[in-house]
Amino acid sequence: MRKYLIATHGTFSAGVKSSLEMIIGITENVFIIQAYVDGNTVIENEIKAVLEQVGDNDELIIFSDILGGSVTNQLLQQSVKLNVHIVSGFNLPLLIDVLLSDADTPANEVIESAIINAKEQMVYVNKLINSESR
Amino acid sequence: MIAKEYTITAPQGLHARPATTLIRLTKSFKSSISLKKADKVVRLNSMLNILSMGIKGGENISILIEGDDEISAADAIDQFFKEQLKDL
Repeated sequence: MRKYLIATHGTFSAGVKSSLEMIIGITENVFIIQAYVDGNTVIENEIKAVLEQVGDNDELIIFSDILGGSVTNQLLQQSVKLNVHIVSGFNLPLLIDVLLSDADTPANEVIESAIINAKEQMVYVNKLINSESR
Repeated sequence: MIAKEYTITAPQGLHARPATTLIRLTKSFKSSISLKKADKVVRLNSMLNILSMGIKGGENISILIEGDDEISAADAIDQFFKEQLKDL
């Protein structure tokens, strides 16, 4: 089974999950980590708690907020396994594309395709409108 | 292959929520289903594919369906565009 973890500094992950549920409905197998909201400086236990729910036959796709940030770094230290995929710098379109993807398509293909599409969602809209109206 | 044309009845067009509903619907069929607007065609296997088309309310699009269950897929998609979409 494919499972997902959204891990961010603070409550961003909970907010993103709320947006996901508004757009695609209730999402199963989506865990969140809201790093440091309890005053701790590490998220080792939170990561362990999620990994304990991922079996050898499962896949875990992790979405973290910042490449090089402490959340991503800790995930990397604890989660480097064949069945774990980490994507940093996610946005909401990327999450939606991955969560709605076909479970039969390999995770690496799903992720690579979704990243290409999701990057196109980050647009300076004023510039786009100006270029279209010319 | 079945090809059907529709006018988008949702005032806000095919935005995130209806696009997601449409993807979920097409995933329940084996047929290959695509959406065509003007000369551009995208597979209906990704919400971002739909959003990239920038489909606005009142615009016309075509749906192309090809596969063993294309008739039942066409019926379900017909219901989506004619009945569901205006409320999404």
